[in-house]
Amino acid sequence: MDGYAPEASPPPPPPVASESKDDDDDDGNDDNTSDADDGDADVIDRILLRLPVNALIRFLCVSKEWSALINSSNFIKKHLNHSIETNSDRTLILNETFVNPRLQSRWFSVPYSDNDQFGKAVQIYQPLHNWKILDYCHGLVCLSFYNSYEKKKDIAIWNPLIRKYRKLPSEPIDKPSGSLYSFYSSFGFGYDPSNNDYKVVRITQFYERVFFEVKVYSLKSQCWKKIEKQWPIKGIRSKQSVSLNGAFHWIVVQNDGSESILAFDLANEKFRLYRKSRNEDLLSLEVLGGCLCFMNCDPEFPDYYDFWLMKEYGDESSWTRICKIELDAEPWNFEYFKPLLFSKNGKKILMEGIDLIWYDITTKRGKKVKNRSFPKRFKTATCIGSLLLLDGDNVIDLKQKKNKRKRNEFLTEGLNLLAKFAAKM
Amino acid sequence: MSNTSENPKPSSSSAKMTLKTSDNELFEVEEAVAMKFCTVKQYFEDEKDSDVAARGSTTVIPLPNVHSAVLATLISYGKKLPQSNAVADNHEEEETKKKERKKYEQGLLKNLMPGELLDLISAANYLDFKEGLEFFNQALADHIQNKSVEYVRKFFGIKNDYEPHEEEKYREEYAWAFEGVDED
Repeated sequence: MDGYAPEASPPPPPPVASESKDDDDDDGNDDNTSDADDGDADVIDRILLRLPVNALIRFLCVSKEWSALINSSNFIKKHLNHSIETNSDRTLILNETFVNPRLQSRWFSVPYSDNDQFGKAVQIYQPLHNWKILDYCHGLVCLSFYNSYEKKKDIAIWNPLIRKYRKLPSEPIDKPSGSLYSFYSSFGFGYDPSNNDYKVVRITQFYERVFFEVKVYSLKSQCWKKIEKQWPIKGIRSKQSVSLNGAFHWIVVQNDGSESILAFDLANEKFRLYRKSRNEDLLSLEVLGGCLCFMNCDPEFPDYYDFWLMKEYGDESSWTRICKIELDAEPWNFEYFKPLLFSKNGKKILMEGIDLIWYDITTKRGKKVKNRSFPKRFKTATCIGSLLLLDGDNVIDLKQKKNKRKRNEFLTEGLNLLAKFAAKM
Repeated sequence: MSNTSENPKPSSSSAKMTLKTSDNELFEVEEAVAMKFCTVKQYFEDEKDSDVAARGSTTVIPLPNVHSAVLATLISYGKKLPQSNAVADNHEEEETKKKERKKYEQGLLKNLMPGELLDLISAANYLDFKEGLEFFNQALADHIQNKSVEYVRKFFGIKNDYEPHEEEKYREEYAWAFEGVDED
């Protein structure tokens, strides 16, 4: 009858998932090899992946092995991917605007939870004074500053959550030969997935002649490179580019006077032109929910803004109007607003004007984000927890420096007292 | 006789399997739950065509790497997960079940000693119990995220191989990351 069958041999443990055979951490071994038991290393790796970045920074000094692991580019990439999937450490970085020129504009960080709740804004220390947000990606914020002496913009990249930054080396503009030309530079910042690199692009157009100077900075190699090929367009209309799918995008004017979207691929350095869906002029190009988004305004109905999303990247037929915003509906008291992100359920869009507004697509109503800890007027960047730029320069908080001096003085006094006491023994 | 002897697919939740732990305890588990332990599932599927399968649920599957207390917790957690063969719930039922599970999870973690988490993770890894691994990995990460460096070293049994001046350098450079840490 039903007796217990003779015991079969125990089931084998599951196969170890194939790990990368690269040696990203340059320790001479494959990335998944360590001196300790492989099983232990896996356990630690999986726990560390789930930690917020400030804990990882603190745990750098647990042991040399942990420091090597956390610093390895393989771990940094895995941790970033996990952060992106789970929206962990998601933070808004706010830069106060319209500040009295004698004062410095303040910066704040605001935790922004997975269910769309804003926490309390905490003032943070910025790496450089009076620089502005250019763009942001994967926890990095690209900053710019107009250097009026040299008549060009300086650029820096900052990871506010781990307080590291890097100022880009100054790069001259190669003007076309001959006399003085007046010119205008437009920038972009974004991720190049083919090379796992973050890049800044500067495109400079000259007014007296149709000529473009294009240079790209790579965070990996820490240097600028010139793109020699000339672009077959008449002019660039966007103030700055948007980055998506490893390409930079601008609104451009073609030689026949029509407007298009130009996409410059960072990996193969080739460009493509996309047509927009309508004949009206584009107001602006943005990225929303991982798609290219443009806003336009029908000249016959100037009180309405249309938002269009390119639902399938590269497919011109996939342009879809997702909403039509009536400007007169309160609280729109400013001319231009930028869509930042969708709410978790996709039914609302967070918009940035002078401050933040939730726009409900179904009810067509906008509601201002009320949070007393926010500054009155500000620009926004979105960050998630990432360890990118861990090898960058430290952002020094002057207040901390003062406290450290006080602490050191206190310690020195204490040690002196101890020494005196010990001498007496 | 056994109601799964002809049909190898787990169709009824009353089909049971027996698991034997390292301390020789036997656990009778519903097949639907046991199948969440992929190691067990693989073992069961491997034996499908052999004589063993014909004896169906009377096979005892030995798990020499798993202690009874640990297996009990994992089975208990497995039972609370949405079953793959269950009828699809409507949105309200789904939300209620989600809330119930959250409450259960909180209760479970409250009663666990932190050291037990390592055992649970190790066992869930051996059993290839994906949901359990995800849950307990996250629980352990949440537990240590605000702890001091000393606590973490002690918890994982890690020797500090830094010279005092090297460690001091880290602590100075990243002083901000050491603020607000839980008392040991």
